Amino acid sequence: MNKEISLSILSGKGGTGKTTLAVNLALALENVQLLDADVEEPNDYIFISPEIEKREVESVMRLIPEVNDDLCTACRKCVDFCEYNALAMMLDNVLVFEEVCHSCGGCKIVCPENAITEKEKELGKIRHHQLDNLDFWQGELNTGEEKAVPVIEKLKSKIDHSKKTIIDSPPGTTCPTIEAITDTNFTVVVTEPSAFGLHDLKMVVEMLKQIDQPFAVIINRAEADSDYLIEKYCQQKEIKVLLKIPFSRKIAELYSNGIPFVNQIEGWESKFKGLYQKILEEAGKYERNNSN
Amino acid sequence: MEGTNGSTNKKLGVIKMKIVIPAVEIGSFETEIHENFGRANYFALVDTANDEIEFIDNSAADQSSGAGVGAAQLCADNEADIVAAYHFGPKAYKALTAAGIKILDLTDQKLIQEAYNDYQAGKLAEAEAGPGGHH
Repeated sequence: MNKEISLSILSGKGGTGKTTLAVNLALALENVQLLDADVEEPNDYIFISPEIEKREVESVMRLIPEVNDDLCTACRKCVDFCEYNALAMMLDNVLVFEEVCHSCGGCKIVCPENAITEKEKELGKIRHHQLDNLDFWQGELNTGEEKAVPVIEKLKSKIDHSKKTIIDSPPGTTCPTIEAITDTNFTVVVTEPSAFGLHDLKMVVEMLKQIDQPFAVIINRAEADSDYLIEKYCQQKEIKVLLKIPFSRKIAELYSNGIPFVNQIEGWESKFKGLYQKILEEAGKYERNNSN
Repeated sequence: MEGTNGSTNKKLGVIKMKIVIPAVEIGSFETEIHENFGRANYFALVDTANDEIEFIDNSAADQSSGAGVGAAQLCADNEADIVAAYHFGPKAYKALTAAGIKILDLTDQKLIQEAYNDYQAGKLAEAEAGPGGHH
């Protein structure tokens, strides 16, 4: 079995075009796995599998403490231990605040009375839809939950290395984003030619350099009179711009109807195939430089 | 229960209450009220028995999560009977309620003195839990 590469798609802010790129690239290629790891707001399904809610579901669970009041002596060791204020001691009773618990299990360990056990709580869900040429997976964080990382971890356990893997990452530069791009062979950063786009691109570039992740840029909503904003910066930083998706009414209309444009507008399938070849070259260069 | 801080000159027959009000700095009754409960810099502790005020650091203010819970714990540990603030998050509200602490809403008061006067005049309404802080 051939080992294929894995690719993460990222942007500094939401609404830049991650979904557009992830979905259209996935549909242009063969033997692909698409993982929507933007778990707070997954939306690739709109274009790929609109009825994903009816598909198979796997729960992502986490552990939260439960205190047996009969055994608890109100010694307060657990409350003092918890860095996240998930526990409080009120009138000699321990209160648990599940939303802020990081599921570290420390309170259970420090309790001298063995009064703390752990129970499972659903944090999110993984959904799956096997289409003809596309293996689609989606992570979802339940409403009210704050910890996206365990859902992304579970989603990434579904990676099949015999397929080309595309991960639609959460936007930004925080822990969920880093979890999504870690161990992917290459990252494509989507940006737009505006002052906001450039600002958020810079944040992402800084983060990617810190974790030594190979990457390149594509410009979405590209326009001849404003692309220089991004191109000038990329030139200075020696970052490759691999593709431009133009600012086009046709593309926007298709998007608003939930239709991927790759199959609708002549020439785009081969452009995305070409993009993938460029990504392979860039990822290959990085690998060679790092094996020397 | 005897307070651990202050509470000198306790008058017999007077019901002693300890009121916590979030404060922007360590000061006096003329100090401004902090807009937040959980992330207030300091808390003013006012003793109704003798009108004395003291200030404590809010150690929860700069914690990464659960500041409201930490601040509520601090109030409970300082034997507060009442907390008055502009806004309580849902976790702070739950924790204070579990501690048996009365939760009162401030409205347009600016200084601790104004909040205290309105408390004594019975003008402060009991609070309901609002939305939480930013994450």
